[in-house]
Amino acid sequence: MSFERYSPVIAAFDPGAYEIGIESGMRTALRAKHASSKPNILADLSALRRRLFVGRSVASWLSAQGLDCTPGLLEVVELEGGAVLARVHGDQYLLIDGFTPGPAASLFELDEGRHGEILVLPYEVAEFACGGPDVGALMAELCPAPFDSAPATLWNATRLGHCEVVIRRAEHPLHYRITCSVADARFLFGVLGEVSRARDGAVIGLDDYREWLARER
Amino acid sequence: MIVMGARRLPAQANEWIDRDRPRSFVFEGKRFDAFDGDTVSSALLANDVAMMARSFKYHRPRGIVSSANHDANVMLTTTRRTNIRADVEPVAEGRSYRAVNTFGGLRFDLAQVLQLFSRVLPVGFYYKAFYRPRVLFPWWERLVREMAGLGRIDPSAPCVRSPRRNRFCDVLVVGGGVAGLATARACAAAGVDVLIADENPHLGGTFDYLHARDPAAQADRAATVAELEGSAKCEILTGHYAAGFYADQSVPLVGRDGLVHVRAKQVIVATGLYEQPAVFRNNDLPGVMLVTAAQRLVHRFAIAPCAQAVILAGNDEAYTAALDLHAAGVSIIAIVDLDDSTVRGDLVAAAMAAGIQVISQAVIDEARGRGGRLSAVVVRSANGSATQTIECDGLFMSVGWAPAAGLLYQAGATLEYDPALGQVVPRTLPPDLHVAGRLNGVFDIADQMADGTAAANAALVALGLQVEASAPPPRANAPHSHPYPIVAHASGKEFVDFDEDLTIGDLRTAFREGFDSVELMKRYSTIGMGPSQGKLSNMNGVRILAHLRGSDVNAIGVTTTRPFTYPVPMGILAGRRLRRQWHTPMDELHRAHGADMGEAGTWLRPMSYANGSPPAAIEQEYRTVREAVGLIDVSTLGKIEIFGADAEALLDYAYTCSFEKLQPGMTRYIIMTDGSGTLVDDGVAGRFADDHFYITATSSHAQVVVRQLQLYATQLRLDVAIVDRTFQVGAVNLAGPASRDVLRGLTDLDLSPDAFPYLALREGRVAGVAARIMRVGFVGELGYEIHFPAGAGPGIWQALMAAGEPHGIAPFGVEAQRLLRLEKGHLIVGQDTDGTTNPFEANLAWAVSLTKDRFVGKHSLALLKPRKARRLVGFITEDDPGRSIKECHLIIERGNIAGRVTSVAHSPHRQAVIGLAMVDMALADVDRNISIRVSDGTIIVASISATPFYDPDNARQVLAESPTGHRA
Repeated sequence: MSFERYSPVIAAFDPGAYEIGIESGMRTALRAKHASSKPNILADLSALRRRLFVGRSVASWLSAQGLDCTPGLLEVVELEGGAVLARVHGDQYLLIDGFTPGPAASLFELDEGRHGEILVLPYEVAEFACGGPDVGALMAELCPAPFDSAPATLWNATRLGHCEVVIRRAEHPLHYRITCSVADARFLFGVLGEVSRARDGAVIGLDDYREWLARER
Repeated sequence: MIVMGARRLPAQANEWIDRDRPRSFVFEGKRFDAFDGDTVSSALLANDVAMMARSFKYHRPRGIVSSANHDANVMLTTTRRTNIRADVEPVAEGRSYRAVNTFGGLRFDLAQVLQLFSRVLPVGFYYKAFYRPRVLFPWWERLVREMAGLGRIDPSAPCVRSPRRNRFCDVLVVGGGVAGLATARACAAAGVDVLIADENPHLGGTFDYLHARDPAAQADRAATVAELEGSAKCEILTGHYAAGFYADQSVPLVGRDGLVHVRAKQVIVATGLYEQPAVFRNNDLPGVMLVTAAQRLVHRFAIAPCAQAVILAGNDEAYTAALDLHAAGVSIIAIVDLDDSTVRGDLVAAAMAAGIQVISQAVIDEARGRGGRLSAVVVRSANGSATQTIECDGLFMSVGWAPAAGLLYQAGATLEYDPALGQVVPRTLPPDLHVAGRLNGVFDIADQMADGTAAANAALVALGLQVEASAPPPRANAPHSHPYPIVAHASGKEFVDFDEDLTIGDLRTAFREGFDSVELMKRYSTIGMGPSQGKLSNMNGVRILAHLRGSDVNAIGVTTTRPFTYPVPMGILAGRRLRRQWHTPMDELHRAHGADMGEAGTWLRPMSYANGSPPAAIEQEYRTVREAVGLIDVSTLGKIEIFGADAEALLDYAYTCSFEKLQPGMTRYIIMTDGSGTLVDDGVAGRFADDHFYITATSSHAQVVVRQLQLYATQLRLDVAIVDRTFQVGAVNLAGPASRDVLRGLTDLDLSPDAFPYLALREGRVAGVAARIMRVGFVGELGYEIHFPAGAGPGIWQALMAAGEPHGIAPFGVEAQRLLRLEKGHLIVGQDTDGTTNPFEANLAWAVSLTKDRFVGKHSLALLKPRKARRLVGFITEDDPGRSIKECHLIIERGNIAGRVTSVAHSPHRQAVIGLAMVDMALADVDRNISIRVSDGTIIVASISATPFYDPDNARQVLAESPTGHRA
């Protein structure tokens, strides 16, 4: 027996308004049934695969896997295909999947557990994307730190809407990727949704987001 | 057809109203016309309504005084909001307002009868009158509160969520008047990120009214505003006031619809001055107002404040204002000058040329009213030789200023009284704070602009820019404030503080009774403690106190000026009312199953699946676990991965037990203490390999434990990685005699007792999902704690429930879990322990290895071990049928406190009330009786009992054979 995982905010999506489906083994909202003309967007990206690699020799291990562009501490590098690799601790690297296959694809297939000197762990978090012309105002309302000028390569641990989050500023188009714990997901997604809607925004599905990225580029 | 208000003037150059957008509103049940841009005050006065509210204590008629957000006596209420200041509240179409704190309406307020008793209601009367008989004090208190209140809050008013915004900038300019605009212009021109905030809906400040007839000033203003509006480097925030000044240049700007939290590298305060009233008999009558209020009404709202006015002069500004108002068509009969008018130079001749009588060296002895508004003033020569009565319906006071310096005080600036100027001015400023304009004692308009530019340049230099420093202009060297615009009257009613109805006599009484320092007088008399926070009263209060003490103003000092500048609605502070709650991965399933969700710290957990009947449901859940199988969500547990060569060394240091003998594939109970030996947390440690552990921590201390482990790893320079997986991993506890049978159907792991013994740890798949399983028994039954990726939680839960259906499975909540573990005698750290409990007191000596080389708390525990002063014990009683004993009830021994109950419940197994209590050692012997004092004071006797109360031989937890007959 095996079954899909659930996005931590799946309950926020009305099946009458969203097409619910499976992405990377996770049940999530793929598409809003009625296209939105709102300029600002909020999307749930929790379904993207993530792996945490832990161990003293993790950098060289990753290099041996073909990922030799390892970032500095609390920094991020974007890989081909849109995946990103973040160094979240001295000996810990987090790999987040992109939307197209890239050089890191095989690493997501690794089972949880020890692989030689490296411990591979699934990394279950919630991730949201906020974008659009008013995204700066949205961030300014909820976050006490100014991210509008932060480099896109930073893995910014901060607070947003009273929750501990990591905010990554993504470019082309400018938007923010917000990572929070699964436990905070429902609360934070609700807050982001409320503020987003108050600023002429719409909650969209994962495929909608993919298309938004392509369109806005 | 638009009905023009009776007092509306022709269009004014700087007017705020939009004559193309008529409005109507209701005040005290009567409909009035207005224009968009009017405030309620201005619109009422435009309709010749002078009396707008009643005073706080004596319910005297009150009207406009400042028209600048200081008219705290003109408070309104609507069905949704209350304590609305009419002088800044924009008229909203169709809205209905009433004055606050009236009994029977504004005009016929029954409480105005209190004026007749004013002689027996002096300052502090309630301290003196109502303390005896003591039993009546609550009655008096209620009566006083009823009579002297402000508006009433409607708790059923709908929730309005106010946004807040964080804003970072290089320079924050507070105040958009003459100096503030010059400052912002210079900063924007230098290319720095500047934010200029002003409380009014438009930039300009005194440009609007003090300089309205100065074409050069108006041209400069227009150019500056246009430049700022077109600048990409400048944000203009009108309708926002700076509510306070906090550390790190943090300034909240409060607007009608929300709050902007600004953190600025440099702050420039250009908030100007508050014009001050004179003090004389009946100076509170509607129609008596500050001259700047009259000018604001003329220029911003195009309203003639009255038909015929007298101006009380204590400075030159009175004459320029008289000429300004005269030019606007307001009839000025006379100027009553407190000084010898010859000091005014050419201004006197100009006033007389305009047909205004100038009465030199005279005072207003008394204002007289009729129908709730001013009808005449009695003018007395300064030497008392003559009096005359002048019929008028307006008296405009121009006697001096006080600095709008609240932000400066809060920032740590010092100020002093400049006798030459007659004004308090800044003496020292903290770094990165600058002052500009009239607040700096600079009055000439060109000087104010120069001062603004100089402040900007200083800020730019502090930002590291290369700019040419400009010297600030010198302070004005002539007084702009009269040193004592206060005239006592034999019949009293000379109001110093309009908010609190305080008179000269009240302050004199306070002084006579020994409250002779400014802080004491403030607290006793409540001067400056009303809604306007002393903006119109503190300066005169200080002058009166100086006069009474025979000292100068500087020797008196000032009271502490605290945030907020104006009262901030609670809703604005609350913002969107973000209340963070953590949800477990199975949250939706619990709700669907009828769970009563309760807060456990930040977590939301199912307390029981009661469907409205908690006690019965909890007992049913209990029985399900004891007799069949139950499932509980324990995702809230802390879950930490420890990986690396020094993993064991870290745990050996952080926890009290030794990990040397913990074999891979096994778990053990662990406790953490701090340096003082106090119990901090407990949990379970599982070992996968020599260098790989997985530990759990209590729900409420998980983050603390992670931080401590990281700290220790750093301190000891250990080669170990610590990964907090608390939120990434979900967990359930499958417990009960049938749990093995349920799990067997979902996993390929060998669950036999030999292959998977008690306290074992295994990795395998459960319902197809990679999981970790620990055989632990918190609730005292055969049980499996299953950990899995959070996203898989709902699927695993549903799979277990489906597999358990033939066995009678049911979910159980936190309440049943607490009862089950209490029967088993298991403690909960934080509930059964407190901030000083050590492991020996909690019967956990077996979990402490004092033979280890080192661990946190070892030295303290070695000292504490022989000095046990109290102990956690079990107790049982059949003498509590009403279940009155609650947690935290005290154990009483010979009249003294000898302990407290930490856990208590009715045990279905023992058919009695059982509990845990921390008691003095002298009471800790089994079978000894203890006395528990319950809430109503009665004593219930219980006896100390050995624990566990259930299954003392642990037979249930190590169950070898399932009750269904499977050979395990």
